[in-house]
Parts: sequence; C-alpha cells; structure tokens
Amino acid sequence: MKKCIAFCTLLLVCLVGCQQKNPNNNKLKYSGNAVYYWQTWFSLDEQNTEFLNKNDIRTIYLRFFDVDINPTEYSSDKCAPVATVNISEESLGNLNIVPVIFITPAAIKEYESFTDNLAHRVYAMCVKNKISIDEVQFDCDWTESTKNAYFQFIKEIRPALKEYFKKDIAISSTIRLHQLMQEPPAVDYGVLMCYNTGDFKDFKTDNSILDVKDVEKYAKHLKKYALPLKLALPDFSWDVEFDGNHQFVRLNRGNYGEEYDSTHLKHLKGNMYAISPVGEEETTKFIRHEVVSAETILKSKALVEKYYGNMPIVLYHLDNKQLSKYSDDEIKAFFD
Amino acid sequence: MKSRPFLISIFCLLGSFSAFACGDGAYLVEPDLHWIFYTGYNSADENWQNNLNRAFREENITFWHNYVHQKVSKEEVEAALYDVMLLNSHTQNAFFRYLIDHNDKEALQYWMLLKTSDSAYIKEMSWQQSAWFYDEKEGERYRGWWNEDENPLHDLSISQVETLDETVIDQCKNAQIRPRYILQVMRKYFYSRDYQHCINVWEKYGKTVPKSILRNQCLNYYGGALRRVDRDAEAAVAYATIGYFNPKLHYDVNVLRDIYQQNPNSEAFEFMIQEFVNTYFDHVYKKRHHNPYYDYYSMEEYILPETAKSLAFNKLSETILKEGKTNNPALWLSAQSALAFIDGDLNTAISLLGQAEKQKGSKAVKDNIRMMKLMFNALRTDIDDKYEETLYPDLKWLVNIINTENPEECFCYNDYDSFCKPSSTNHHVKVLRRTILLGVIPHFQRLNMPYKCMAYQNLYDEVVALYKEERSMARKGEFHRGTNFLGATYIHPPVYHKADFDTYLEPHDMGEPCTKIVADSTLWFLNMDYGTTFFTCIDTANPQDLLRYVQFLKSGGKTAAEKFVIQNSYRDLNFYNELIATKYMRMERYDSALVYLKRVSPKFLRSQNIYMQIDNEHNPFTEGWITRKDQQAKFRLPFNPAKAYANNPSKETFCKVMQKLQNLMKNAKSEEERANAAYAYGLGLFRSGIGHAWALNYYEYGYSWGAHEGHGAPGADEELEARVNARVDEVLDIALKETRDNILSLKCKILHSQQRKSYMVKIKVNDYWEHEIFNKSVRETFCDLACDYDSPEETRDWRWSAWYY
Repeated sequence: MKKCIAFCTLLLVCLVGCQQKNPNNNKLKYSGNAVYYWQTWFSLDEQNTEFLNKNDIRTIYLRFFDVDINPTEYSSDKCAPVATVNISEESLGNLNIVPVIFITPAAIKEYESFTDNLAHRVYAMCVKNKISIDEVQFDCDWTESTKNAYFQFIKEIRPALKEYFKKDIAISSTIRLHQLMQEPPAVDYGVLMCYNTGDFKDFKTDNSILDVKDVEKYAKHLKKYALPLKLALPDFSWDVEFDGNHQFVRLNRGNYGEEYDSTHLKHLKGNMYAISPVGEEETTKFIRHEVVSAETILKSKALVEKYYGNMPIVLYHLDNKQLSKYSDDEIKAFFD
Repeated sequence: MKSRPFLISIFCLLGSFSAFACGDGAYLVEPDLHWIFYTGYNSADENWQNNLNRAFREENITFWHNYVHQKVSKEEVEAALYDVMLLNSHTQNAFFRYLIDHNDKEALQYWMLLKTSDSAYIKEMSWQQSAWFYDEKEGERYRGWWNEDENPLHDLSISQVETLDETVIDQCKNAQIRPRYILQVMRKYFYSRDYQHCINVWEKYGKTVPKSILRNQCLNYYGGALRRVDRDAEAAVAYATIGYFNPKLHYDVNVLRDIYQQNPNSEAFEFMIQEFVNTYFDHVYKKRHHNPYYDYYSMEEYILPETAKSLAFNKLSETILKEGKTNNPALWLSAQSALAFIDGDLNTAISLLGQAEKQKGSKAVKDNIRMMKLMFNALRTDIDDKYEETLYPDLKWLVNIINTENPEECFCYNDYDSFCKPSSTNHHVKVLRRTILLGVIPHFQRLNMPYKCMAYQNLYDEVVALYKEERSMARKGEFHRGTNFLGATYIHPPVYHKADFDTYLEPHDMGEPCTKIVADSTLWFLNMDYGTTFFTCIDTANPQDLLRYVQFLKSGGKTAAEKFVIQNSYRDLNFYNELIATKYMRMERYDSALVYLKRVSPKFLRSQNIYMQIDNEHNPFTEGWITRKDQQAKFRLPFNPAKAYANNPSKETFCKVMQKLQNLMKNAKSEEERANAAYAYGLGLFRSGIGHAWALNYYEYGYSWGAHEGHGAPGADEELEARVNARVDEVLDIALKETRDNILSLKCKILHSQQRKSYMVKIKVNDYWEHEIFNKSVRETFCDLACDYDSPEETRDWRWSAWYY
C-alpha cells in the first residue's frame, strides 16, 4: 500500500512538473521574498523586523507617493505627487528598497510627460533618505483606454531615471489580473496582483479581495504572458458598508469589530452582517466583512503557478495587525 | 531629458527670471543686495534694482549688437541674450549663427559656458516651483524661501563655471570678452566662498574693466567679498561707488569714522551721509508716525537707540570739522542740520544750515542745502508777511529743475498706490512735496486762505502731473472718455481721504493731504484732471472758496510769487465753471447752477468723461409706469419730466426740469399736482444723487450704491448716501401727505425703501402685497414698478414673490 501511495505521489509530481509553463518564469533576475509597505509613515518596529527576518525578506516595495490630479493651485502642473511617505532614516538597515509609485487612473488619463519631475522627485527622495536603489516600480490600473498613455510613460521614465541616478534603473510594473489579457508593458518584470479580483461596490460580490473563481478566469492567459512575473498575495482585510438599499456606502479598511459596535451587529450569512439602526436618523446598514483565508490564498497561488510556474512572492502588505491573522506556517506556505 | 514640463514652467518663471538673470549669465541679485534701495542726491529711485537690471539689459544688448558690427538685428541679439526658450536651441539664432559663421571661438566658448549655466539655473528654478519639488536636504518643506548663503541656486549657477580661474582671463585675447570673464571668475570665487581670491581678481584686473554696469557688477562682488573678510569700510566704499545702500554698513557711524581715517575726502561720503540721514529719518519719523506695530513698543525703547546714532554722528562730524581735513565741510554740517530737523528742532536745523551755507562744499551739497532751506522756510511760522516772497526764488529754482528732469521719474499719479503713497521718489519732487504739502498748504490753512491752498495744490499737481504730454492733449479735447467708469479701473478712496488737514504735519512721504470731506463731496476717479489731488481739494471745497480761487486765477496775481504760481497752474475756466455749477446742483440751487453752466463751452462738456453717461438711457425721471397709458392718466403734472429731459439730456436740461418741479411744488394748482411734483422731484434727486443718473452730479460712480456691494463702503460714500436719502425722504413726505392716490402713495413708499437697499423693497412690497394690495390693476402696477429697479433677475424674483407670497 505504502509503495502504491509513493508511486501515485511521484506520478502526480511528474504530471504537474510536465505541465507546460510560461517560458518567462525563469527569466526573472530579481528574486527572493518581499513585502509591500503601503503606509504614509515608513518606520519598522520590532515586530516588523522579526517578521522580515523570520521569513527571509530582504526586499521592501515601499510606496513613495501617489500621482494624482494636482490638488493644489500653487503650480501649473496638471498632475502632482500626493500622500508622500515619510521615511524614518534609522529603519532602513540593509534592506533592499524598491520605490513604488502609484499612478491613479485620473492621472494617467491626464498624462502629460511628468516623467522628468517624477524621476527628479524619486531621486531627491532617495538622496534625502539615503536610499540606494536599482529599481523603481509603478502601479497603475491601466485599461484599454489608458494603455497607450501608460506605455508611453514607461517608455519615457527609463531614460529620465538614468539621467538622475547616473546608472540604469530597472523598471517593474504591477499587473492586474484583467491586464493579463493585454500585451504587457515594456518593463523588466511585472508583479501579478492576485487580489482585488472582484467589484467591492457590488452587494452580490462574495469577496472582492480574492476569489479563486475570479483568478481562474484570467489565469489561463498566464501561459503566454510575455513578461517575467512575481506574484503578490494579499494579507489584508476590509469591511464594505452598504445602505438599506444595498447601495455601496464606503470601504472601511479598519479591522472588523473596531469600527462597528458589536451589540448592534447581527450575523446574516457568510461574511454579511446587518447593523440595526441606532438613532432616529439611522436605517439598517449591511456590512460585508472580507477576509481572505490562507486556504484561498494558497489555492489561488497554486492555480496561478499551474499556468506560469513558480514565482517569487511579494506579500501585500507589511502590517502587523493584518499579518497576525495568519499562523507562521501559513505565512511560510505563502512564500514557499 | 523631456522638455515639455520644463517649457511650461518656464512661462511661469519668466518674470522672476528677468529679475535674476542679467543677460550673459551674471546674477545681479547678491546675498548682500536687498530689493529696496535708496540712492544718493539726485535720482533717488526705489526701483533702483529694476532700473539697473533694465539698464544693464540695454547696455548688454547694445554691447553685443556692436560686437557683431550690427550685422544682426537688435531683436535677434536680445532673443539670444534673454529668450529662455532659446536655451536649448540657441544655435538657430542669428546672433549665434554670426559667431559660428565668423568662427569666433572665444565668444562662442564664452557663450557656451554662460548658456549652460543659465540653463541649469532655470531648470532648477522650474523644479523648485513645481508641485513635484522635494528638497534633497529638507524633504517636503516650505518652498520659495531659503537662507541666501545656502541658496542652492547660487551653487548651481557656479557649478558650470567652477573650473574658471585667472588663467582664463590671462588667456583671453579678446579685449571685449575679457572683462566678462573677470566678472565670471569673481562670481565663481564669491559663491565658492573664496573671498580673498575674489578680492585679488578685482585688485589685479579691475582697472581694465571699462566704466559700465558690468564694472558695477564686479564691484558688487568685490564689496560683498570685502565685507565677508571684515573689511567693512572698504566694502562700504565699493558699494557706495555703485550706489548700493547697505544699511549694515552705511548706517553705522563707526564705518564712517573708519572711512574717514582711511581717506578724509572719500567720494563715498556724499552717498553714505545722505543715506545715513534718510535711514535715520525712516527709523525715527516714519515709524514713529506711521507704523501701527510700533505702538507695542514704548517710544523710549524704540527711539532712543536711534537718537544715540544721531548723537554719535554729530560727535564725529564736529571732530572732523575741527580737524579741518575734509574738503566738503558743508556736507557734514548740513547733515547735522537735517538730523536736528528730524529730531524736531527746527531752529537748530535752520542755524546749522546757515553755517553750512557759508562752508565749502560740492555742488550737489550746495544744491541740497538750498532745497533744505526751502523746506525749512516753508515750515516757519515767524514770516507770515513775507512768506511767499521768501520761498519764491528757491521754489522757482526747484520747479525749473523738476521741469527739466525726466517726467517719468517725477510724476506722482499713475496708479492706486501712488494715491496712497506718491510714487515718485525723485529727490526734487520729494522736496517739492514736503515744501508744498507740509509747509505751504498748512500755512495758508492756518491763515484761513483756502484759495491759496488750492493755488499751491494746483501748482504741485501741474508740476508732477502724470504724463504731461497726454494731459495737455486731453485738454485739447481728447479726454479718455469712460475708461474708468463703473469700476473698470476701480479705485478705493485712500485712507487719508478723511485726514484732518490741520493735524497733517508729518514731514515725509505720507501721502497727499486733502481738505475735510464736506457734505457735497464727490469721489475719486482716475481720469486726467478729475483724478488729481487738486481736483479732490476743489471738489470738496465749498463753492464760495472755489469762486474765490477762480477770481484769484483770473486776476493773474499781484506779486511775483503769485504770478509764478498762477502761471504754473491749470487755468481753463470751463473746468472750474462746470464744477461750480455741479456743486450748486448738488445743493439744489439750480438757478445758480444754470448761471455757471452757461459759461461752459459745449466742446468742453463733450470732452468730459461723464458726457457719455448723460443720455436718455440714464434719464433720471423715467419709470415704467409713466409709459403705461392707464397710469399716465393718473400722473397729474402739466408736463412729463421724463420726456422733457429726453429731448436734450444734459445737466442744463436737468436743472431746468428740477427748477420747474420746484416751482410746481410751491405753486401747484391742486394737492395732487403738488404731490406728483414732489414725487418727480424726489425721483430726480434720488436718481442724480445715488441712482443711475449719477453722472449729473458726480464724476465717478459711487460703488457703495449697489454695483459693488461687498467691497466695503467708505465713509464719504455713506455720508453722501445718507444726505441724499434724507433729502429724498423729506420731499417724498410732502407727496405722501398731499396725495389721495393709492398708486402714487405706493410709489413713494417703494422709492422710500428702494433708496436704502434693494432688499428693503422686497420686504416692503411683500408687506403691501399681503396687507393692502389685492386688486388687479394695482398688482400690475406694482409689477411694473418692480421692473424699474435693479436687474431683470432680481425683478423676476420679486415678481414671483409678489404673486405667490
């Protein structure tokens, strides 16, 4: 019997191994475990450091700033940086920092060659915070209509960065699942965002952060996706609030139970809760508490890797509270 | 490098660039230089910096134009030098093409260096003003300010020339390019904080730099470098040579002493002592009397340190005079006199000035003594009998000087600011201003001779008038009509409009005095003869005083002084008669008004800027209800005032209609006729007082009358409004008392409220609507009445509220 089981396992491994994988999956020059850091104050506490060490994470994708429509009037720039991260100098240690710039859809729609200013700002931030970098990542939810602008931006940013840093700077880009259907941008590699798969504003969505069914829809395109990829997995959760008519009200990124008074919460089914009215003005509200189980994450990872092969993992994002929901073994499994 | 954002931001920077960049790359703005300057005796100009930049620009263009033997147009040269858009494509410019074609390697090498420097500088400025700016040292900090010594732009501007040293000067064979390299090398050393080398370069090569603004720029660096190696006295001299006032150096008795010890006859003294006195004046007088912030400090705390400066100067001056080494003793004595004057001791000032007059001194000093004497005499109260005769020779001399000077430097009326603080800082104009406004006019005010105040104000305004040529053309019949109406060039009356003339005795540039506001005052507007201080004075004076002045003008004057004043005054009697008539109109003395109106030529009336407003569109008597047949029948007057005015809209017609209405009110055949006459008269008063026919009584639209609500109503305007309202109320009360006609009664009540503010009409009208008016014809009448007032939008609202309230 034991022999039989061993044989079956070997056969399964062979079968899996023989599946056709994307030829790009071994072209990636930049590997190793990594995390995103997506807050406006960058400072690593002891728990963070312990987490990084425990999981052999040497790379942090640090959000530097977002690019949005210029909210101020003091300059004529159409687009401008917003929510710039404050960096605590002592926190850096020997970490490999990859600046990440999130470009809002509105900003890329208005793209008017802000590459030079953007490169200058990234450079200035690196100088000020004594960060040595070899790579910059751009995060943008580009679509068919904004694809050209984004691709043009990617084309222009490389020489601009080179001019400031006086060396070649690698460029990477986040890739959303729906973007797998399009040709890839001309970057060195992409980070496939295996999250935000559903429409969180839709009352009927079960889990907008990650749903294996949603991943399945797009994963098949990975086979021929012409770009080396890393895989970003989610560790975050959120609450989506709807009014009595099931209309979306807001997204609450805080943790469940902190924002809402539990005495007024009534569990309906699955991850859906109702809040009974408090005052005269209040009406019933619905809360969808979205958390991604380790099992779902691993299933999605397996599914993606089925089509592409193994990918270095980037966890989104480094947040003690969120990460505490997963055991050490689960985290280890994410990275394995 | 992508050029698009760079170019966009360049447009925003052009203004500041012009202030920073001086042509071929030298930057005039230095750590030591401040933006506000005072200069020496004759052409004091607060815009020294701007003028210098402009002058340098011109000098520079001419230099390079000549350099290429004028084979390239000046425009092309200018573009090559100053068009920042050409930074990346300058080789396409004809000037540079010339240098390339003629293989002028030295010039090309020089320009390449400078353009690279400029380009880097502009790019950095563009970056700093961009929303993307992030400082490499400070992170996201407040932009736009930095410590001058740490200004990254300076470092940047020299980074391109950092390899330069004296060898480039020695190697340069081109005698025209050479001085420019001297400047660049000095600049490089200065911003590299290598001050000793900077000084050495000037001391070695300075003599070879021809007299020019470029030389001044070199001296600028030289002075700055000297100061940084603590050679203050030499730095002060270097700065004085180029007319740059540095308060830390030039307002310091110790520095004066050091210079004296090095050279008792230094040429810098004239500049420095003048600046010392001016600064003392600013610190003591201006701040004591003007700056409200200094109320927080006790006078002793604030003034005493300044007084110590005065004492120290006097002590130094006395020592110097005793030693007898100076060749300009009059300078030191006259400065002592000025300080005594500033300290309020006129007698000592006069005495010291008398001594200075007898001493040896340069021409500039002697001239200045004469001007001081004029000012001091104007302030004297012990020479009432011979006052004008005493002033006359010096006043005539001063006016002649001003008349020969650049009028642009002298004029006092050019914009709003100049009303608050006369713009000209020309020294002679300053002296004239102080003499007349602070000496002569208060003197005649004290003697209760308003016509003499007007006479000297007229003289002053004529001498310092804005663009004399334009004004004289305008007087030939080419007024710029209507250009300043209805807030197009909107001017707030200055604060000092209300100033009490009698207490107005500060002897400095504190604005123009004016007589007290009287009830029939009008407002300011900026239009040639109706925009001067003189006009304000005569417009706010009562008609008798103005008549007396006109008589004085007509007389031609008895004494030489009077003749001189009249000859330098504006004497067109049309101007005065028209104003006198208007004054009578404001006083409802239409008979007198008509007398003076008849003396005004139609040509003059047509040339007035209010002429276009006196038309049927601004008929003071028109109302919607008058045109309605059913209401016309109820309008019981032997004539229709609106139609009468419409036949020939003019001040004269208005006076005649009002005269008729006045008579009807006195001699009406019935109570209704009297009531109707009173109502129409009230309408005329209201419309010509604060309504749309304002041009009949005034020369500018009163902005608190509705069109500019929110701008804040000045006191004078409110006063006028209150006076008109009170008078209209009186007349309407007569109508209300006499009439039995509901409609007329309603109209009077509406006008009562409309005079105040439009919202009152709505309230009142709604009130009537609810309680009194229900029949259809009255309702329609009310709607027509509402149409008469204000904007169609508001009218619609009112109609609506009338129907549905």
